[in-house]
Amino acid sequence: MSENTILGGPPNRATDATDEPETEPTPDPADLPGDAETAVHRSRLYSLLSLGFDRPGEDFEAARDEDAYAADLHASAAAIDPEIAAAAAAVTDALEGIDGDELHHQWAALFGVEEGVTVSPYELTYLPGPLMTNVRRLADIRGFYEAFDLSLADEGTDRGDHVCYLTEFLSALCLREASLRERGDDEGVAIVVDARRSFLEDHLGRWYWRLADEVGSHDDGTFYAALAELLAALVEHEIETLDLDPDWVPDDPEVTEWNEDVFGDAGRGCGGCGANVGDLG
Amino acid sequence: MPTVDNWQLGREMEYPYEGARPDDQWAGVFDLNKCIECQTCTLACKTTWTHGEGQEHMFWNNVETKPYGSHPVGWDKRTLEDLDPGDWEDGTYEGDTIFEANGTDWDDPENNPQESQQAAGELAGFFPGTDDWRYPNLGEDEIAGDSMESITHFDEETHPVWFFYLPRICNHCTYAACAGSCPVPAIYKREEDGIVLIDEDSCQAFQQCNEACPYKKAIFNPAESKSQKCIGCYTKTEQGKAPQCFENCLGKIRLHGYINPPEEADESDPMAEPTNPLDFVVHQKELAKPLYPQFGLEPNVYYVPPITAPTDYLSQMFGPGVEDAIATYRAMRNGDEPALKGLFKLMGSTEWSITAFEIDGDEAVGYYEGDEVGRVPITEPTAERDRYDEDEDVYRLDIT
Ligand code: SF4
Ligand code: SF4
Repeated sequence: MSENTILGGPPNRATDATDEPETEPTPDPADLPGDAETAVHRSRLYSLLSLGFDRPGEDFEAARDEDAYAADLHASAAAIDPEIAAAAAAVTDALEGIDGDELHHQWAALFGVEEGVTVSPYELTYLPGPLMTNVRRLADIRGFYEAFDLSLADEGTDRGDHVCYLTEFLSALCLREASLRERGDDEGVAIVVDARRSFLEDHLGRWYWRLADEVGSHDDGTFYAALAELLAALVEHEIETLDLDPDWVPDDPEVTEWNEDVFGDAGRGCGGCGANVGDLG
Repeated sequence: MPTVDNWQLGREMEYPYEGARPDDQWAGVFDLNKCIECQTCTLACKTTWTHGEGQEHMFWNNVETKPYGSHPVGWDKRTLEDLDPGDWEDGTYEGDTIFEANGTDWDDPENNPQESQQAAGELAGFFPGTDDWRYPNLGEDEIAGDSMESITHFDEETHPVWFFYLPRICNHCTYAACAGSCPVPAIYKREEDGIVLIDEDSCQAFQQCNEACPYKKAIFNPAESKSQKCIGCYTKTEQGKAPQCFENCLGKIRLHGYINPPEEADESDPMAEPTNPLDFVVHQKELAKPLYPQFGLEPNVYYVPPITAPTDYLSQMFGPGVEDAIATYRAMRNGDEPALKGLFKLMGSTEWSITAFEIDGDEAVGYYEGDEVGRVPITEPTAERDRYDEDEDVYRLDIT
């Protein structure tokens, strides 16, 4: 504000202008933890997780041929961290001796529309607040994909916040990181690592643990419970190495501290008009 | 005592800061006769600006049914009750504004908003609680006046059974109470276009503006612990484009432009040369009126009153001159005000703000800073067909 009138500009504009650096600083390699080899393994692990969470079909069967899925999972997990390796071992143990039909049955019971999607694989389900305020999260996710010239396949029928897409995107980022590291392109590495940081902090890092809890509570000891635990172990490791602090979603999805007051029980309604969905039925 | 000139009140008025006008003043005209309460404006705004966590209750643009609707609950009635009724005498408001109602001496350094940190308490009005934000559709489509039967019919110009829709946004007030009450101060009015903004990095959640704004358009975001408000879509207006709620208005009731105070108003004749449309409608024709001018903020959204609602209610809401405005609107509809008719046809015909317009033969032309941005026929061409079509051997229900 100007002297004694309300006219003017933001109070901190003047100081900001002098504080702000003119150009982007060159990235310090110390801020970019990792190396090309682990990046490749991380990429493969995310990709195997994505494949595992998808509706089991021919792709997964092909990957299981000659135990390739288990072998790759072991190798990549072991290359990253012993705890992740232990989680991967539980996955392959659970997979042993299960045929395609049985696997499909387990998957459908958890994530399939056949049984009403017992456990949601979608990020939006776990976020606080009504749907109306959450749709923009979808746009944010698509924005990440588009920024790296990726898009959902035309024939894909799933929403962009499905855990398969999120993990596949992280896999693509890690693969790019590996190739940029090989080329010694620090600036490029900074960009992809930064994107992975933001994506984990704003998206998967907020709710991966809820997915693991949900799957675990419905399906203890099977392949999918172990797979969700492996995802949790990997994301936790990421949070630690990248020094992230994601804002965890509430463990009770019903209401949150800020919409409870405003919308009461309607906290999970669409949010368009404040009507209580429960009362409408 | 610092006094400022409020032309809407026809007098000087008390205000915590000295008066100063921006180079240009962002402004809008809303024709209430055309609003159908489709809420497209509300959603255009919400999906652009207030779709985040902590903004669930926030409608920078809302549309409420009058007289029974209000969001937040009772925003206008409660402030009017706190502000004793005041009379208008020859265009001058003789009652107190919200800044004057408590007799606060704004010259006293102790009352300086940055000093006292509780200036909102010195203003007439109330702090809207969380319950007040719960019912954005309260009173929707509820009728006032007589009761209504299925066979009720009336021909009177002022309808005995009535309601109308009132779309509301921040008025980017000349004497903003939000900015005038902020202790930091984190709220300021831009010199270039008069848009009132909250600097979110500076906001310290004093929540004075939430109470001080009588229109309740500075709203608290509990997730961010900051107050937020309409930004006038300055990202668009800086490019010459009208704000989202204007551009998307389905009823084409809105016109975006810039207004001058009366002594600097454009007096040219749009039948002869390009003329500022805001100055033309508000100052020359006195057809569009500010919302509750008696609050004293010199709000900058101007409403064409609904011609079928009772004028005593409208006068309380829009100040003096409502009857004349209604007569002018009827004259326009009867073809006696060709320049106005042309301008009202331009509304909603372009995504641009309109800084000037003129009548060119049987067309109305809109300009943004000299460039033509809209051209519409004043009377839309219509063709009439025979009711009975011999070739097809059919009768038409619709012949125009
Ligand atoms: S979009 Fe226009 S017609 Fe629809 S409610 Fe808003 S102001 Fe009224
Ligand atoms: S309408 Fe309210 S929020 Fe907008 S400028 Fe006026 S006082 Fe501030």
